[in-house]
Amino acid sequence: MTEPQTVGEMLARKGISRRALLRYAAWVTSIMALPSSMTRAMAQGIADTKRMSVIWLSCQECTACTESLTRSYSPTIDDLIFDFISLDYHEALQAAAGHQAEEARLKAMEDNKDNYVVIVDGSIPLGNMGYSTVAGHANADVLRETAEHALAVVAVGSCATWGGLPKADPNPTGAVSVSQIVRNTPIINISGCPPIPEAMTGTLAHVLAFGQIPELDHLGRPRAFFGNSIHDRCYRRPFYDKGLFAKSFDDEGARKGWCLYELGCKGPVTYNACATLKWNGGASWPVQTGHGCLGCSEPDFWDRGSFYKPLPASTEPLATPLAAGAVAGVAAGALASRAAKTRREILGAMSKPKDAADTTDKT
Amino acid sequence: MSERIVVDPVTRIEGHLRVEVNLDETGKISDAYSSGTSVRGLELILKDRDPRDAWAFAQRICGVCTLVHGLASVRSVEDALGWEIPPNAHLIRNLMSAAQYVHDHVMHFYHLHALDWVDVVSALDADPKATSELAQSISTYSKSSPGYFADAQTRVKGLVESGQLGIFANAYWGHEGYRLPPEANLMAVAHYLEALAWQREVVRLHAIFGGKNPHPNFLVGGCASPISTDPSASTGGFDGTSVNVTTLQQVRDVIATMREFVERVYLPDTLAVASFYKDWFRRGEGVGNFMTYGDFPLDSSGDRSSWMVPAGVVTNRDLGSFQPIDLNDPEQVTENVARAWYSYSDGDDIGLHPYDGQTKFAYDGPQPPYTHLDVESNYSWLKSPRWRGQPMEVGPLARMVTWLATGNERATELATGALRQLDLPVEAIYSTMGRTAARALETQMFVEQMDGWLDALFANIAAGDLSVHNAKMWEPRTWPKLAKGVGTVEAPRGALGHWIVIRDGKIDNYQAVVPTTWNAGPRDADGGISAYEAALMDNHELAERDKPLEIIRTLHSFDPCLACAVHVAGDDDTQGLDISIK
Amino acid sequence: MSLAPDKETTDGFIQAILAELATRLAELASTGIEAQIDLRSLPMDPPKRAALDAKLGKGDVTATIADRAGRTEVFETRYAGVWRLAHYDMHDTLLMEEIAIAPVPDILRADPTDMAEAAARLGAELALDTKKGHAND
Ligand code: SF4
Repeated sequence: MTEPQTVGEMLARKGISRRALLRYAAWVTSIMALPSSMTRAMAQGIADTKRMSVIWLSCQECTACTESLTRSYSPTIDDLIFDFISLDYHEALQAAAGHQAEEARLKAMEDNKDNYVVIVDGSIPLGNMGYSTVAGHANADVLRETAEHALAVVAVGSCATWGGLPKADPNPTGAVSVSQIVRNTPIINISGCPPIPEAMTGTLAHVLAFGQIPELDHLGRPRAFFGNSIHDRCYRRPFYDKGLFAKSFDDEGARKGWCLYELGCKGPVTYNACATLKWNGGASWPVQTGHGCLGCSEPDFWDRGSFYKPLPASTEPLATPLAAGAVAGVAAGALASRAAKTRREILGAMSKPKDAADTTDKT
Repeated sequence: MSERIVVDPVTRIEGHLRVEVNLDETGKISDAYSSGTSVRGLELILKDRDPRDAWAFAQRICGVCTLVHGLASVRSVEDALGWEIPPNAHLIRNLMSAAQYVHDHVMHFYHLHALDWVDVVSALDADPKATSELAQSISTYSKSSPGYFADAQTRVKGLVESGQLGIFANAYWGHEGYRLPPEANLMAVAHYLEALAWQREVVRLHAIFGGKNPHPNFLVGGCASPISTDPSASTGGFDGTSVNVTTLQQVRDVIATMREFVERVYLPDTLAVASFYKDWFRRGEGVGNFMTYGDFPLDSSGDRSSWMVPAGVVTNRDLGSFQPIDLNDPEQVTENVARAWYSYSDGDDIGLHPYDGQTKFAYDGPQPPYTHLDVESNYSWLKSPRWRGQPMEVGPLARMVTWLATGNERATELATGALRQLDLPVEAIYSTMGRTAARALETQMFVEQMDGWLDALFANIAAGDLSVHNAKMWEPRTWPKLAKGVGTVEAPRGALGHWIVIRDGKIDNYQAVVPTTWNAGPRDADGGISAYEAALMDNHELAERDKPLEIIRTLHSFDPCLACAVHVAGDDDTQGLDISIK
Repeated sequence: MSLAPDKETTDGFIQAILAELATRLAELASTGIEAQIDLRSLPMDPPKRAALDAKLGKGDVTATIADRAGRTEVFETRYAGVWRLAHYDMHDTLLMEEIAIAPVPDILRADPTDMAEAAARLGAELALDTKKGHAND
């Protein structure tokens, strides 16, 4: 028997048929709002590709992004790292330590030149190169070096995407985002503090299947996950529309699930998929427990006033774009075979002007 | 002539840790230096913010022990303002915190620590049938068939044969320090995979009460999880909130899932692994001083005697020396920066109490890229906290010691049982493996308490008490002009305190002194050594200098959490950066 | 205070979906073009959902795919060529639901790779049996 090389073969060894892969692909195309007709192509794409080499760099971070990834329900973290990708460097998870760990990173870069994906969590301090180092190297230098020959860089979490907590006023360490360091490699931003696990795994599956980055919004985030505001899809929205608001965290309205707007909910100005994907296998999500949305996927949300201060009344939420679009299938970038796609083409696709419809940065 | 060994990055931890050690001629570690290599300046960021917002910032200190900083933060505000919270809020916080223990400790053992003892490559040589017999001989856990272990083996084999080893690449496999037979290795690898699936399920408890995990919500004055008694009728088919009778039943199920895994997998595995490494009960003692802040209140009276974990210190391994602590006393807790990359306005050689904490970045280490730190000078972003000038160890071993010192029956029973099973004297706990075993034993204690707290919550709801939040002091205008307080949590990694000074409704000073800072800090002005360094200097000989397995074993026994440990006090003096570059 | 959604909204919503289904089904019948509708993308509260389920009903065919990665439940509705699918992960958590407009849903068809693998396996087993058979002679 030949050695298993592709994801399809790895899965087959585990006794997982193409049908199961089709089920997974149906779910990813669903959460990524791709047309359902792409399901089979996605399943095929995943099955035919070699496990993708992934290098995860941690800068000024708290490890919640990694923790969040391990909470992914589909695919699960073990499926991900055993069957879908080869996680060749990840300080919090990898077995190797010290210089052996660094060697693993360099080897993965060499073996998979122009074909590996770099995931970054945490911001990068520029105030002094000694503010954050790994193996004696400044975070900024390691990131530049590793990103140079990557297929794409995925910035996960609000620190890597916008600078996040370290960048909050007065930004003591001069923290910046990944996009301020990485210049010539396409970047996908998956914001959130931390991001929803399925937003990370879904995006990876897309890159894996199509060798292409998904359609992004004006902030470089996959539109599939960041195209709607929390408020657009919030189950408490009917209460908002009827003017029924909880006035304290434990009053009658709070217990009945009334709208949290007056308690400071930032749902109307926050773009993320919590309301639809929910958290931890659908167990709940922040608004559902009874605390307003903190707005954690938006740039500089730490510095936009208290989490408990109601948004100004003038913040008019957008109407929900309903069924029609979804039924008809949302147009997505044209498919291309993985082999035919070069980084240049990906870059070209990226720099295309984005549809401005959702650029509702209303604050 | 001594030889310098560097491990950076120390992997399978939270955050960025580097150690440099000197070996003497015999290959023994003669000196060890532990360095936190990343700083964010969180406490500086907190200055002038709304104290009610602080929990969300503080929680981002760490995403692994994801809720302890949120909890310490809301408690600091409540302590400063004398703000009582409803009994249900105590119960919910206890449940969330205990769940954090169970989740954190299990993940630490399997995903961060196990590979120091378990050789993944050797698991390929195991016979699944013999593995099944081994598993059944130590536990009644239902997943123990030969097929189950064969599946796990196939997965690892798949990685090896594909030539892409991923997270298992380039490790110390085959090192002579690995002593488990292939079957025990395979059993542990199977449980490594099992625990990955298990942990995803059990954090649902945090999602139900806090909306998500990592980083669930907290709220000053109680909990942001109003209890809806009859969601469907009152809301026309929508769920009211995620806490209701149905989901509390799910919490019950989660607790059962946790308990089963701890009792039938985690604890037996830990003792089984330990039995092959008994010499690791003879090295890696820390400083011999232990401290706990105490936690898990059973009512809102603040009566410390009802706390599950006591508050106090034990010095010099002397269980009779147990004495209480006062965290508001400037003589007791201080932070020192003599060898850290910070400076104090009145000189770096004095210690400051957290209320008066101040710090300026003063990085004078080598500019990267560098190969060695100047360990004779300043060498870390961690400060060094001291209790009455002495280094203390905090964490699972410290809790075990204060429990034994205060005569906790269950802890005594579990500890003596384990020691008897392993045929070891009580001094064995002061060691690398003692720390690892104490962690497993206390997990059992926490998981046993959870049903009782949930019962109490159900009983309160049945009696009509739905209250989870005390809104009386919500508006900052009701607060005094100046207030100081400390919020403590006995966190999985040890004693955690957040000190806050509130002036005119805003944060005037915020200082977090966290477990890993206690354990991993650099030397102090008197040359006093913290627990990590002391443990590495206790009887460690490297079998292979290029593969310092021994070093990471002992470091991992502390469960390092570096993002937690590195922080900066907010103080007027600190607004301007003061960077001097060597 | 009750907040039951208005009946009109529900009716209007169901009408919109049914109209879409009718168009797609006609298209399938005349041109063979298949379509899928992801129910996740349609924000439905429980009453709308119940109304849709009632309208589509259940037809003649039911199938279950159960494998190591999860489970899929498939049934045809009262309208030939309109199928309902529900996908579950290995922990039996509902992943997604969809409506497929097709002669037979894609996931029910055997995949060429799986078939090729099965053919090879069957061949090998046959060869083995023959060998065993000879050995027994
Ligand atoms: S304001 Fe918040 S709680 Fe209210 S409907 Fe919008 S997102 Fe939901």
